[in-house]
Amino acid sequence: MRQRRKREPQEGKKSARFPELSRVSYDELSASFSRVYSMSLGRARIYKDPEMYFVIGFSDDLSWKPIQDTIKNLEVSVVDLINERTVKVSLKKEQYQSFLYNLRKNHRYVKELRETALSEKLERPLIEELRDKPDQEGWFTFELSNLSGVEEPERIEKSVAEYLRSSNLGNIKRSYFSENLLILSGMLKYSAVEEIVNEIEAITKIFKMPKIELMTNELIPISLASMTPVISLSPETNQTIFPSICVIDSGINSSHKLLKEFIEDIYDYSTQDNRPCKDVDGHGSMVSGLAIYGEDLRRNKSPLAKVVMVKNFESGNIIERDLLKVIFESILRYRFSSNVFSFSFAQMDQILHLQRH
Amino acid sequence: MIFRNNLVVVSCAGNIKLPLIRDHINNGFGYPNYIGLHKVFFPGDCRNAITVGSYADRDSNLAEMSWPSPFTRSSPSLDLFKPEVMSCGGNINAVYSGGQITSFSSVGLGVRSTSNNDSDESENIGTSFCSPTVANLAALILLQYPSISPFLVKALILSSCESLRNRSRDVPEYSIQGFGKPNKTKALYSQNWRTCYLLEGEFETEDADKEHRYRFLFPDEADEFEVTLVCGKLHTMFDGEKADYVRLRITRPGIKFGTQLMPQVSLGESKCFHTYKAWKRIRRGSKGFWTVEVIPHFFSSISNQRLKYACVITVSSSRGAEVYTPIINLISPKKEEVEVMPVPQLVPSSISSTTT
Repeated sequence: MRQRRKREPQEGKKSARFPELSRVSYDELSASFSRVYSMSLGRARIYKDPEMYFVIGFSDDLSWKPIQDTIKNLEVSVVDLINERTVKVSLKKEQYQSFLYNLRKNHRYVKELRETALSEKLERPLIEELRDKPDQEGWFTFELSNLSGVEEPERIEKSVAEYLRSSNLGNIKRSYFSENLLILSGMLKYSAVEEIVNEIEAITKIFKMPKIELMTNELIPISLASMTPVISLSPETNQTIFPSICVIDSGINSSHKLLKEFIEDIYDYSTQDNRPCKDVDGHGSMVSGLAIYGEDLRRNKSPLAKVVMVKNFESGNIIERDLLKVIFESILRYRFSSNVFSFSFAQMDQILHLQRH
Repeated sequence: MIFRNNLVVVSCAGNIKLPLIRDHINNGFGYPNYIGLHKVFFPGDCRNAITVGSYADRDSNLAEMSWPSPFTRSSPSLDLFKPEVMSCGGNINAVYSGGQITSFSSVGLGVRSTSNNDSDESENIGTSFCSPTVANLAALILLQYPSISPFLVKALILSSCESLRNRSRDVPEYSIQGFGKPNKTKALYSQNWRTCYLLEGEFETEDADKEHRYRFLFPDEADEFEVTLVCGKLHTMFDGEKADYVRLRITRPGIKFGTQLMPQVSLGESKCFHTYKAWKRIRRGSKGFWTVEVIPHFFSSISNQRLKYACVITVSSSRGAEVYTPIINLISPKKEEVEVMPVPQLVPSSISSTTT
């Protein structure tokens, strides 16, 4: 009788049916776990945590069902996913013995057990910055995710705040709390940050927040993870300042009652002067009205902006044929008063002319 | 030069001549199919400008309300997405005689604005009357946020856009309508249920291997997010050369969803040559800090080229839940001052009315 040969999962190659095995013995794993446990017991200076936090590295991808079952059988709760094979978990310290018992039965895919590395919580440039300037103060955010107990966030927050107050290192407060995220933020000394990170295992990540301002033209510091500004809610005050819009068109009716108060400046290319800028076509006056009132006059009659009119069209024909020259000259002339330029013309059949129907 | 001076340029898409529309329709090439044949010309085809097309705000026998006007022009290529936004530029009625169009009429269908006769208003149609309204919005944005770049102004306008839809909820082609019509309130402010994050930056040719990374909070109350990205080079204002681009990668945090594990995942990576917009509904549980990475890509190795980008990320709640306050509480360092303020005591209405 022909015997069916058993297929072994190959090294480095994903088997079709099983994840890769770890080939790390139980003795090695239990030794590293007891090391993690004893380190965790020693951390009681700021907050005595009933839970311990550590990292489990698996031999294959977490999406495998057997690996997900391993996590379930180990009876640990997942706090954070570090990468596709590594997961940060929490366990009650009193469950030390039962974890070892579970580990003996389910260690086929467990490759390593270790403490969370500092670089997994803090970005490397930030670690260097903290060590260089220990006396400096900064605004920091501490992220704690998937905490198990309901009272735990409160207890952690209280003990960290107490520690900082007693040793005069800064102040910290809860700034956001949801079902899977607690964020503590506050002003503290650089030297205190690393200590808090080492002492409180539940912290998953730390960020230094830049000073929040609305956008500047400078490059935003991005070497560190940063929060971005937010646009504000609508104010209740009425508009008193009118921004200016530069329009290149066919002139403007400067005696029109809806326009005359909102003309910032005019320039006429037919006379190369500030006068007369008269609108023969009616196109420029209409465009100016829309630029000032923002929409159809049937809907809005309260002004929102002012206009600068540069006349370069008359009776549907272009005055200065070099349109780029007109655009550039207008920019040089009005760039300090107008930030917005509106063009209502288009090139058709290689001839520039005002489009009207 | 325009963009080096931090100026916003708004241009119209241009009109299709009415005799051409008549010929197209008479030859059996009806609305809106012929619009695709007529492309945007200079200055509307400038990559960094905001190009405005026209939509109809009243019905006619050619175009329905909230659909593109019959005379608006369309995108020159898939690579260059123009016009980007639509504004009201009027509509036209076709006059038929013997089954053929003979002329057009725009009476009562145009845009009403100031005329060249004193104290009078006139009505007209054309994409010419679309660009000033968007220029007005751009000016109001710059008044509100004076230090932002033209790219961010454009990104804010595009992020506020809503797609055109007629009564039967049909959407016109995106090569004609762009991102749709801008909404003034959305472009200028965040709402309680909808909060906008702004970010902008710049890469030089030497930074080709660098990437910019940002983090933002996605609160538990929110369930939708939208990203609008605008990028462009400063040294050129014309189209024609092979464009450099940026790539955008958005990553949501790894979470535990019931008993199932969901590792940190990238929500796709997208190339942006000059404008890009995407919308996504997020299922419960994907909350926390999200990451945005912007990666440049330069075609040529000519030095001193600057590639600028601006991005607006909108986080909102479809159920109208409060999104703005949790974000502001988190990022505002002035929170302590606010908390110190005494809380006013509530007085029963009967007592307060007697005292006043």
